[in-house]
Amino acid sequence: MVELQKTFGLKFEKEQSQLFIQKALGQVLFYPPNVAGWKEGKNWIDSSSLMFRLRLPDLIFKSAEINIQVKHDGDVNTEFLSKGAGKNFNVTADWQSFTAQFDNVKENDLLDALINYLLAYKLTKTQKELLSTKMVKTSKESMIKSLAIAITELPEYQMC
Amino acid sequence: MIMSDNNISRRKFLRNSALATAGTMMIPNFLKAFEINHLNKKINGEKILVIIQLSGGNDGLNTVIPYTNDIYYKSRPSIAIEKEKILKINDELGLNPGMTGFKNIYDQGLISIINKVGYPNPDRSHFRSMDIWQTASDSNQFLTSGWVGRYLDAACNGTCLHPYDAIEVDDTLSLALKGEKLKGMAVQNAQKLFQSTRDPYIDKINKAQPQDDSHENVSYLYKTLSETISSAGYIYDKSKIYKTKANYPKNDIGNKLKTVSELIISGVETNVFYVSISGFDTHFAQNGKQNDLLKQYSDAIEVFVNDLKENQKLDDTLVMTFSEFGRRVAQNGSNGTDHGTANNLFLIGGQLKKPGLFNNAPDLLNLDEGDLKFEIDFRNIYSTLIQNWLKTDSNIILGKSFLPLSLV
Repeated sequence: MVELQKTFGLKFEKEQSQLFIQKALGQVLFYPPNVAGWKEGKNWIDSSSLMFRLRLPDLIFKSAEINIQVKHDGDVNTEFLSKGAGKNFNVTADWQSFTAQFDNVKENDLLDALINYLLAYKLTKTQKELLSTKMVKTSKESMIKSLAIAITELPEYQMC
Repeated sequence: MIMSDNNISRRKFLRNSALATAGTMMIPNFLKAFEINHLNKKINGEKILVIIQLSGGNDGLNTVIPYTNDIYYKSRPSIAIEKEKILKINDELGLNPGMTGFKNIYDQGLISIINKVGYPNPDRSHFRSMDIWQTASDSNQFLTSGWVGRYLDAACNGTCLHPYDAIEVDDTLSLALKGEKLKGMAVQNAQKLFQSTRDPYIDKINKAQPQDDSHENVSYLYKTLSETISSAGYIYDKSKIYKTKANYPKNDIGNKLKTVSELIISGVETNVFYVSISGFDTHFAQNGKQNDLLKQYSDAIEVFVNDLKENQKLDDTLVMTFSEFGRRVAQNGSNGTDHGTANNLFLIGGQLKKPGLFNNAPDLLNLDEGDLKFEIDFRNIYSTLIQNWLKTDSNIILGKSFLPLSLV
């Protein structure tokens, strides 16, 4: 989540939205899931947090509707944390700064450049072909945007 | 002859060692067939445990009320429940007036009320005490896995690989269901979950997953994704088998227990269900709020029990209701109660060894700085459920030996 925010310069209209996301992922920053703190690696991943994580780019970049609720933690004083952030997140991304980094990249090389930029892993030919099908070719900016969003929905991105 | 024996033992050896070393993190593709063999098999026979968590710290003294005890009335001048309204269960204790449904099933011998449940050196923070209950730790011990999750680890011994062996009816998964190796699954709504896993792009991502297992964490994510997609399909298919006609209350607990009942009666191969409802943190104007919540709980439980009974599932089902702590004996200045310690816990089912009151009411004269003293460690109850109900060794799951009680 922090990675997504840094990379795309995300600004949430309501702070509530970020708390909601962190809670859905079991990753409230000032409020770890357990007093034992964060377990290294995979502990945050279960079926629901993974599905939410894979849908997050849709929620953030395409204003898809939020269709889950997060749990109350019992404390009447922190109930606000789990109240929904509304039906959608109102969030803006700084696409100008993001796309500017690829000014010197040729259109044909964009996919590889974005994969290198966003992921710590190499992708297979099949995966690259899948990403290419998500590319919107109306302009270079739209190509970068659509590919970047498609990459952030891959499990590989969730390790960042 | 000798050759084939060798082949079998070699295959067994490979399989066992692969599972033992990698746990369930990396299942080589050639073992996927093995996974299929274990479909449709509940890991521990037909016994089902349903856990209901009352989040926020339910006030036990206004739930099971010592209505002949003067100290109760003196400690709570404005929030003690009037004697005439209490649903009496013996000449000492009675239930909150909202709990008529609960009382009906109590009178049929389907409920054990266990008083004074807690743990040594109690913690009064919601967060920490819930952690202790969910991980089954000591109060000075910090664990990162939950007891139901560790039950999955232990019961399966690396051989059953389905997140739906333990289901939480919710959108997110509680720590209780996260084991070291295996995790349960959060299913608020089978159809919604199914649809979300059938998103075309997610489906394609899953199908395009890399075949090499060189990045352990990435493999783990893809394995979780594949399991989620197949489990969501399985649960959705099963959930269509039985739709209850019982009249569940249309509120959070009613909806959740309806889902549990439909999954149980449909024959989903799930051993543990987990449900939580919130709102019990009653520091202010307690009575209206708590009575209402207890009524919702009690009404829903009555419908649930009758639904299971009509479908011959009650003898295979055990419901445990708990809260992270009770509340202080004396009320506060806002017509509410603050965080306390020991509390009552309910077991509901058709196979109870000692229905009714399992032990005496708490002693209001002998308090620990204004709080009830615990007599039964909650882990002795967990141990009973694990050993006697789920037929699994509790020592591994709880980290040490807690003697089972004569409950089930």
